Amino acid sequence: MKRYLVFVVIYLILIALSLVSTAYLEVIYYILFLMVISQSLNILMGFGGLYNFGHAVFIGIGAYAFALLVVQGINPYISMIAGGVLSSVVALLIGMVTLRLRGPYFAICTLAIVPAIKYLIIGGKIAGGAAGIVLLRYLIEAYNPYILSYILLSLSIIITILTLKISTSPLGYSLKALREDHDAALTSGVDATRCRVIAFILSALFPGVAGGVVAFKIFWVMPETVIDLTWSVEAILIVLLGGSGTVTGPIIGALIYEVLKDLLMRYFPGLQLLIFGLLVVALISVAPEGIVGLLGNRFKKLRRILI
Amino acid sequence: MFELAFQVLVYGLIIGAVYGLATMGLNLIWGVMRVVNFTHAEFLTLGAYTAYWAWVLLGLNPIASIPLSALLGFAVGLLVFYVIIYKLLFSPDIHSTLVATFALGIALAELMKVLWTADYRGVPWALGVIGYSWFSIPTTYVIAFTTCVLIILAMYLILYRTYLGKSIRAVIWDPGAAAICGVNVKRTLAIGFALGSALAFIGGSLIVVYLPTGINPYMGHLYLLKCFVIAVVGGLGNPWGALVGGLVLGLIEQAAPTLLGFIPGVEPLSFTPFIGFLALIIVLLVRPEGILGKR
Repeated sequence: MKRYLVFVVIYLILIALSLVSTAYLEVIYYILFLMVISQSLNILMGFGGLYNFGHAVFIGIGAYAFALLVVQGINPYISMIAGGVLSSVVALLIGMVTLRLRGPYFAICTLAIVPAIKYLIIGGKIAGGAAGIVLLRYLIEAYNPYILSYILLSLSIIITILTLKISTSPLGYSLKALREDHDAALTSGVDATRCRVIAFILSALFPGVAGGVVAFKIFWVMPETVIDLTWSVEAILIVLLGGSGTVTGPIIGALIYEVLKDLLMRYFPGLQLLIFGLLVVALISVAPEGIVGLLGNRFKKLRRILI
Repeated sequence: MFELAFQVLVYGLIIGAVYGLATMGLNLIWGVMRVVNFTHAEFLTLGAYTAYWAWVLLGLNPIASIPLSALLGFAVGLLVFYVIIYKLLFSPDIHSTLVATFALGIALAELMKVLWTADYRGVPWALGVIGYSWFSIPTTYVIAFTTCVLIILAMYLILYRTYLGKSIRAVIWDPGAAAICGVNVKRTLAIGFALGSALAFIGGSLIVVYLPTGINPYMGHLYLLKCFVIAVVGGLGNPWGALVGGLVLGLIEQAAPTLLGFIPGVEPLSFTPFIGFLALIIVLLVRPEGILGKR
């Protein structure tokens, strides 16, 4: 039960703060969004050791599916779930092809998929091309910032429980074995592609739903804004910053990342990214295994709770 | 039709050579120490700014500013390597260098924005054109292309004809065995990183020739993505792969808008990047180790 304590405390603090003022709610929305995308990335990246730069594609697919369904007059919340399912289907297709690649080749192939899909939509004039789809008149009445944040909160809770379950399941052990020694795992009878495709599908489901939330929040689906490589990179940064392959890592990473960014924006406007970049460099130099790894090494008692 | 094909071929080769040079540094750093250097984008941008300031303050044209650019790049590379990269190389998760180089890139881009504003700048260097009635090409492009080829040749000589180059290649092959044979691995890694960074700076300075008004603190990101594509298409860790990949991408970028113009319903210019990335994905799936990579 101790393991769940950290999450319960963090989530309760977030809920309490979200009720205090709408200014906090905005920050908490971003924290929760980052938690969802980084925790879902962690399934394949943390356990499987595969760096997926294509995570932003799943957000984009979720957002586009959401927009196309909402325009047809379908309930927005059902559309979000449909977006998640569709992005899982796409993950199955992408995964079957790309997950045979190893290490850096997989990373760069997924890195290329993001701009490829973006320019396919812009250049092929699909779903409105570069101008995208404006959703304001379909959604303005249903808009409620609290509901959107709580959807992200529940997604984050579900995915955290899922990650905890996976970390001690046969799937989790197979992924870790493949990460540590690919050939040895294959010899022991691990079906590499199958394991990774399952992990990939699971990790695509949640950003797909979160993509719908993003589209709902900004009322406008556009290739430049919803298929944004920055999200992929931010998710990877958060996982590495928090502690790759741990369940608490992405949660703490997302919290620190967004709070740090927000504080710097408030106190050093114009210089925030400069200081942020230098701080992250310093942080990763001090804690190459991530914050959770650093805390776990310093305080042995915390280790059991955190990792 | 022949005129068009010839034009596409020449421009493709010229742009491709610069792409190849700009990627070589990234590829060298990956090959030597298995670090994906995200700061490469900012190194390119710094090289472009070096050319710009050399033009404004010293009156040097972008080609003449290359030695300055290379020296600066080498110094910056050494500094970054000893202060940040080296410690992280032996950490349990090698990918922490990914975070460090990415965050350093953000900081450098912002530093450039603070120092030199986000305005677009350019170097108006022009020397007329070369060519006949139906074919013409700016003289500066030809000069930049020639310089590019010469630098690539120099790189070849350094990598294959000097002790330093041999030790770099030995470290790429097998760091442990290289150390046993008496190669100073730490120093070789440092010089490899600095050389990669110098190549990025040179690439940035040369890109200036093709960009009359395109220097901006964030310009590097566009090229970084292209560099990744080129590096993998050619073969990761193989500096010659970078050249082949660069030429392939340069030709695709020049040919695709013309060919796509025949297909109705598409926007040729914004569809071209898609073709480039599609080519990468196909190359990866057919030959994961790249065109020149070793199996």
